[in-house]
Amino acid sequence: MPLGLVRSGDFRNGTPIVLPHVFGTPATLPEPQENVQPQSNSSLSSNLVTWTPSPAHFGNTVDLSLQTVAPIVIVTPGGTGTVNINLTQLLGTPTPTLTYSGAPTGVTLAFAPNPNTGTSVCTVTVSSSVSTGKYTIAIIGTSGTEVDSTNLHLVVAAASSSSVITGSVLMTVTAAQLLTLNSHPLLVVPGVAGYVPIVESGFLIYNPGTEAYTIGGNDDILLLTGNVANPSEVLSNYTGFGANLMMNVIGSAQPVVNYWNPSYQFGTPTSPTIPGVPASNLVGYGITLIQYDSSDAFPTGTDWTGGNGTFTLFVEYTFVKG
Amino acid sequence: MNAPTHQNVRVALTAAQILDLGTTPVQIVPGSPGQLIVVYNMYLRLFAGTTPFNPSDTDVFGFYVGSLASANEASFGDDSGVSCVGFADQTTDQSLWFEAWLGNGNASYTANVIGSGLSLVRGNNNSFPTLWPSGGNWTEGNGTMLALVEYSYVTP
Repeated sequence: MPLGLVRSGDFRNGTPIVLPHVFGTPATLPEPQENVQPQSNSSLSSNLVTWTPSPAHFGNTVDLSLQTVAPIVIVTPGGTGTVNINLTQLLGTPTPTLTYSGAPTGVTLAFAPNPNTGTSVCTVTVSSSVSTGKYTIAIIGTSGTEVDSTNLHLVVAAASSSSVITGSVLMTVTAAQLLTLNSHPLLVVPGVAGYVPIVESGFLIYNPGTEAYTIGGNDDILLLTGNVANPSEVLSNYTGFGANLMMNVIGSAQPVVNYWNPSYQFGTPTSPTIPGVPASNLVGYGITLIQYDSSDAFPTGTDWTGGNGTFTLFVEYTFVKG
Repeated sequence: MNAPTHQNVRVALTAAQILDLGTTPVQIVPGSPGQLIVVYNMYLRLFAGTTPFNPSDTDVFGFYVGSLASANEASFGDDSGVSCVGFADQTTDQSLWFEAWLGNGNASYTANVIGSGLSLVRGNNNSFPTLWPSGGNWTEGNGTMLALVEYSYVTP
């Protein structure tokens, strides 16, 4: 235990609480507060400090944070799906061991690598006996006494007899989502195990707010098709939207619309250098909205600041078995 | 949600309409109030006449939604249109495909595009579509054309 850290079970100075309560000398040390490390003293004689911390690092700074990307996975009974468990090391270099809870009978999760050193691939295996439906599974990372968790939403969908699945999404992208779109790509259409995603058409409307976003001069907005965790080998829309042009130059005062080009280019959004992409980076993956610096390859760039406008996003898609 | 319902339209263009496309667009898909048109395929078929049309080297066809009154009021299909030379000036029937999107020219004011129909127009690719009209009308030709468009209406 780090020197000076107060944990559940330590003793603090003060008046013993004995019924009836007697007021006495106030404690000379401050009560534990977040981001403050009160001094422990093994010679103190009273008041067992007990609490149920949530999260379990009360009085200390958070060491790690986990995020499931994409947060949703769609798997057919008897199939598998994958998501990434991304680790952010906030204090030190914790490498949490990943476990899970809440999975229905017949569903197992495997993590590689485990412990997580940055990104672990979580493979979700669904037995053929699992009922269709939606399940929420907690993925827990433990590094020493530090614990964080993230949820994975599992959709068990009946196996389709069709080789083609079509649909569309019409959604609002909130200001909070826009502000973190570089660091947190937004999954628009979850993948379907065994199917390749295709963008058929779509458009993006920027609805200005009362405050404009601070946008990098080369920032673009794209739809990526495939495994976002491996952006050098995915498909992206051939033409992305120049965010500055769309949102600040002509769009500062009134809504503007741009259509997605359903054509794809291979490889990185800016540097198609390979004639194809591994099918393993497409099959089973979905369609993701990203923001990045177009002068380099995704995931370069930074999150925007300020701003409170929104997007209206429409994407029509087809999943093809193959 | 389900994919929007795809529709198809076939519009025949007379020789007179083709000759005047430089200044008079022809609407191919009518607008729907409160809705955006999304396109999936855009195709032109030329039925050659006895006299071919006389496009200049820089003339292009383009589909658009919105208004041609000024820049940023319309969304255009394809990149700066598709060349008329090699198509409209031929003496045999021709086919011409367009890229199936309307994003050329970047973003457009939503108010101009919502409810707008899809039209076919002709311009000069040195300035089209940011400056229109450009290139003038043709003076020769008696063939006809057929415009085929697959599209849907989407309410944003």
